Order: sequence, then structure tokens, then C-alpha cells
Amino acid sequence: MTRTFPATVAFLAVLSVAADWPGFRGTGTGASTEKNLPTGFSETSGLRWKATLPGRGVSGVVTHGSRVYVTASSGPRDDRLHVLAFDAATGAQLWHRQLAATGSTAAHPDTCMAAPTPVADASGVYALFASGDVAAFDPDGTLRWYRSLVSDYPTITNQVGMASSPVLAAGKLIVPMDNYGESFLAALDAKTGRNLWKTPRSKDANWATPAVRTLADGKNEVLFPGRDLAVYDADTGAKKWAAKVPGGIASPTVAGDLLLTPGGGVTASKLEAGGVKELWKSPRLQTGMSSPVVFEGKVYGVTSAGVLLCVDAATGKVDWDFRVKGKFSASPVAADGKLYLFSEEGNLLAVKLGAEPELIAESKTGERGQATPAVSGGAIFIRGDKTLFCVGSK
Amino acid sequence: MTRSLVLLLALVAVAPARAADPGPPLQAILAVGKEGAGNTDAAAAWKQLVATGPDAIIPTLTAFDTATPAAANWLRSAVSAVADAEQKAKRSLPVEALKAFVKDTRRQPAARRIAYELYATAVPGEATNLLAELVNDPESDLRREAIAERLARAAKVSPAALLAAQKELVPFARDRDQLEQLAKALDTAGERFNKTTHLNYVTQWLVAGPFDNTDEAGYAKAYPPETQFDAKAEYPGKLGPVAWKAMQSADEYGTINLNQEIGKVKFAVAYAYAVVEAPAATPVEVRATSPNALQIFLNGEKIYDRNAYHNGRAVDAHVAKGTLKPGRNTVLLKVCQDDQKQPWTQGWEFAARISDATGGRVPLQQALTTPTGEPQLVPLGTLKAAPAPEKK
Repeated sequence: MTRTFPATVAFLAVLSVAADWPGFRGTGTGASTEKNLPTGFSETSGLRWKATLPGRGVSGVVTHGSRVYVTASSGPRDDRLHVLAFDAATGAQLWHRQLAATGSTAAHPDTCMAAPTPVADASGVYALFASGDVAAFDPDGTLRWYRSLVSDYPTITNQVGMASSPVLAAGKLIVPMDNYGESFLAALDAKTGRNLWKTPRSKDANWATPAVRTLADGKNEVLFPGRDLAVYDADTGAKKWAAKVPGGIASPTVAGDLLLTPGGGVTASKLEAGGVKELWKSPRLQTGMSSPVVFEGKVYGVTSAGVLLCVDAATGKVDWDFRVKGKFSASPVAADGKLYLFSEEGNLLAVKLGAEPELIAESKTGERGQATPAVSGGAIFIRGDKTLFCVGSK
Repeated sequence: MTRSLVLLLALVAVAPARAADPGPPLQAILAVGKEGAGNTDAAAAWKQLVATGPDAIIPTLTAFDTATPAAANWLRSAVSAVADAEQKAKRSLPVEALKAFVKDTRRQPAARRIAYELYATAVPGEATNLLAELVNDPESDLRREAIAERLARAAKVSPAALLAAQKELVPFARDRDQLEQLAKALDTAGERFNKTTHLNYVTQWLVAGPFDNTDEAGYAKAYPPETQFDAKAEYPGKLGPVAWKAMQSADEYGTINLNQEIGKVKFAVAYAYAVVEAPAATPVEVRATSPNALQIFLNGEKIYDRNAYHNGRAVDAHVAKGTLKPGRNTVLLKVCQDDQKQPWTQGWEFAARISDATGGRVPLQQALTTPTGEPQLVPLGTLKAAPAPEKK
């Protein structure tokens, strides 16, 4: 058996049981194995529930078990931070906890302090905000720990606004904190919030979310793009290797041994021991702020102007392109033979995948939308500036 | 285990939770330190505090007085958890105690804001009436919303009432967007309002630079202007000899653009020096707006430093606390530029104003000291006069 085979098997095994959507782009791929999903909704049907949010957010919705978690920020200075939990079945707000930003809230108007997507597991939810505030709540809203990273490292700064999302790796909360001040990747003890390791990074802005990869020996490594793609031992934070791979605003996708990196198009590489081997480049896969998704042997990406592209994952050959209406900064998600896109105009589009793509539904929220949808429990979760929508049958 | 012991344990588990003394848990939360130190104890304390119920709200808000920003967030989330639980249980909050807390300006502004929001949840109409009294509140959001509320009420009466309210309320405005809205309305009505004076911008500076900041090492290097001011001195600079040059801002928010005044130099340090006259000993904040790494000195003492570049131009992003002495005070800014190439990293500029703790005006004058002339006292916020139009 080759070294790569077990990793691929492990990846598929995770997908096959994952009904949760626990973090940024679910498990980091933007794909789900859920079936019988809805295509959209109207004013009179198709919405399981909706709930008013206390502020805006470009962070995605995450789910674990019966809980749906969302972050938001509000106030004239955007310094009010919110973490909320809803019941996935009914939309009842289970709890709402508030924090105040302790770091700078200066940011580009397109983003806000609720930009990083939280990450959830059975212990609850871990919410990082662009102001450098990070908190862990249990499923019932009990505060397990809190950190003000800017109090600890005062020069943290990114005038555009930070957006990299945290990820979980075997009891560690991996916190990406690339910025123009003290720049680092850190692992916090998921139980206490204390530093387990903190590895310096170059002083650069970065909006990408790291990917976690489990190796054949069960150990985890963290792949984080920046000036290079750097790979860290998740146990120690030691840099294992780095490779010259194009980078951009969007995040890498890891599917087994396949690595997709957006930046000047998308580059597909095979992850090998100590490096990468480039497989193909697709300059046409210009994904802008959104990240590519790999699903059933195909790679999909959408440009900010709404050109949806399907590329063969093995060869990089373009199968088709398809024009959809809208501007896109949210990443597409794939499930149940469909691709879901959420436009900045607040429209949820469902595109049936196949040799000939087909737009099968377009649903309007009436709100600005920038957050990547979530797929969980037979429903699609989308959030606008004011409202959380659960699309699915009642 | 005996039957009576079981009963006793059951009583202990149920009865005393809501009557617990919030003091010890608060101490554990206030003790949280750097990098998560004390988090485990604080987490246990947080549970105890929330279990105490509404009796914990006022003591928890009062604990903001001595809380670090990190500890304050433990406290804030505890209050929101208690309020959440009471709301779900349809129990009332301690409204009179909350109202008294809002009115007690000795308490921390952030805690008073939370108290106001809880009060407003319980009795919205009464809360709006209370809000309307808070136009000069130390808490910035309460002040802002109070001004907006009073303006909205006046607008319902008549245009004349609105104009009168705008004139009455503009001195209390601090937020730039609200101030601009009011100033624009007054301007339209022929009532000119001087934002630069209102905000107390230091508009006249002596500037020296560029000094070397290669590899950002100049930030930590104390060049001669930091150790002894001499208006007539000439220093070795990055590109040649450097002398003090008088500059007066023409920008209503007091900006001095160093790229224009010194030149577009990367890896560079500039110093800006001003003399401010205070009528009496005055606690103040020196509030600066700059995208660059910045240090602020008051009367030779460093009162602020932030070694971070290109964090935007957020108004008052840099706030330094100090006390002016009666008479002559010196303010020195060290403004550092790095070598980044991206378009958004090209700004090398600063603006600074001197305010009270709410960002409000303090009656000060400033002296323009030139290498050749005598100091001339002018009110803070005096802008460079616009050039006279050319005669045809």
C-alpha cells in the first residue's frame, strides 16, 4: 500500500460520516456527503426557519449535532462581538453571549470583526474575531475560556481586517494570526486556551484559512499558505517543510493527497513527503476571494464576477464554464449533485452538476451576503447581514 | 451514605446557588493574566458567578473598575449569560439598580453601557427617557445615541427646533460621522462650526526628518530630537543634514503629510514637535491618527508606542494618557515608515489632538516655535490660512 492511499481513505471516511458542518467550508473542503438537499426557497415555502441576528458577519455558519453556531459584530465602532447558538431543528435561539473587541476594529468596509468562521466540535464552539479576541463556549453557552490576543501581543494589526479562520487538530485550536505586527501561527489548548506552541510567521497580511491533514501514522500537520506554503507539525508547531506555491486571498483545499491552491488561477499539486509535485495549473480558475471546491472528481470555482468553472481534478482540463448572475466572495459548496453559491446580492443559487450544468433554483434573501453556506442535517444554512436562514423542509 | 447526608447534599446542590457571594469568583476572573494564565480558575468562577443569578449583575459590572480588557470580557459574557437566563425564565432584572448604575459616572463606561442595555430590555420607554439625558456621557455609544435621540425628538417638533437642537448638541458630539452630519446641517443654515477647534487638533508643528529606519531599526533608536530639543540644531539624517522645519496643517482634521513635507522616503523616521500651553495641571489624552509606527512623548516622557505599520487611518487609533503641567508643555511624535511596496502601505502621515478622557475639548493654546522667531500663542485647532486669491 502506498503512503498516500491511507490518507485518501481516511479523508473519505471522514466525509462519509460527516453530517456536521463544523468549520470554515465544513471540514475545509466545501463539500458534503449529505443527500436529498433542498434547492431553494420562496417567500411562502422552503424555509425551515429564519432568525434575526444582532449584527453582520462574513463568517460562515457552523453546525455540530443539534447546534447551529454563528458569530456577528455590531456597533458604530464594530466593537461589539456576538456568539449565538440556535437549535438546528426549530431555529430557537439557545443562547447569545457578548464580548467587546480588545484589538483594533479598523477594517475595509466589505468586512467586519465577525469575519473568521468559528469552529465547533462536541465540546462546543471556538470563535475567533478579527480583533484578535477568541473564546470557547460549551454547547450550552458556558464560557470555557477566553483570550485577548492583542492584549498578549499588542502589535497585531491588519488594516484591511483579519479573516483567517481557526481550525481544530486533535485537541488543539490552531489560530492563524498573520498580520503586519507580531505574526504567528499558534496552537491553543482547546480545554484551557493556553498556548501549546506559537510559531513566528512573516509580517504579512493573510486571509487564508489553514488546512489540517492527518497522515498515515495518525499525526496531523497544518498547511498554511503565505509567502510560501508552509507545513507545520500540529503537535509541536515546528515547520516541516515549505514549498513555492502560488497564494492569494482564498484558502487552499486539501482532499487526500490533492492540494488545490488559489492564486493567479488554481494550482493542483500532489502532497508528498517533504514537498509538493505540481500536477496542473488552471489560469482560468480565477476564484478571487472564494476558494475552490473538489467534488466527485471535479474542481469547481467561481470568479467574483460569476463565471463558474468545472475542471477535471486529475488533468486540470476545463470541462465547462457557466455564467451565473451576481458577485461572489462566498465560496461555493458542493453536495448531493449540486453546487450552491451565495451571491453578494444575497441570492442562493443551486446549480445541478453534470456534463451540462443547469441553474435549478435562485432564491432571494433580500440581504447582502458574503458568508459561505453550510450544509448539514438535510438543510442549507445561509446568513445575510441581518438574518440567519435555514433552507429545508419543516 | 446515610439518608440525612443524601438530603443535605441535595439541599446544598439546589438551594444556595442563587444566594452565593459573587466576590470570590470575581477575584478569580480579575486575576486572569497573559496568554491564558488563570483561565482554568476563571472558568470555574464564571460558572459560579452565572449560577448566582441576577444578584451577580451589579457586582460583576462594578468589577469592571479594576478589570483588564481580557478580564472585562469574562465579566461581560457572564452578565450576558445571566441576563439571557433571566429573560428565558421570564424573570425581571433589577431595573432600579441598573438605572442607578447607568447614572453613576464613577463606574467604567463599558459597564454602564451594558447596564443601560439591560435596563432598556426591561423598560424600553423609561430607558429612552434616561438616554436623552446622556448627551455628555463619558461612554461614547451612550453619548452618540443620546444626541441622536434628542435630534430625532426635535425633528418631530419643527425645523426651527431641530436647528436649535443641532446648535445645542454639536459641542457634545465626538464621533466624526455624527459631527460632520451636525456641522453640515449647521453650515447649511449659515451657522459655521469649526471642527478643528472643537476637536483640539494640534495644527502647528516643527518637523525634522528623515532619519534612518532601515530594517525598522530606527524605531528603537533614540535620535537626538528624542533626548534634547534644539530648534536650531542640525542633525545627520538619512539623506543628508536635517533641520527643524515649521509646518502648519491646512487639513480640518490636522493631518501633516510627511510624504509631501519631507519627501517619499521609505525606511524613514520623522519627528514632530509642538509646544502646548495649559492654564492649569490637566489630565489629557493625546489622540493621534496615523497609519505608521508611532511613539508619543509628553514633556520628554514616552507615554505611548506602537511598533506596527499600516493599520489604517482609524480616527484616534493611538490614545496616550498624560497630564499637562501648568504653562508650557512639549509634545513630540516619532512617526516611522517601513519599506513595504503595496499601494496601501505608502502613507506616512499623522494628526494629533489633545482632549479630555471623552475626546472632548480642553481649553489649550499652542505656541509655534520657529528657529528664527518668537513663540506665538494661538488656540489649538488654528489652521493654516488659505492662500489669498490671485488678483486678476
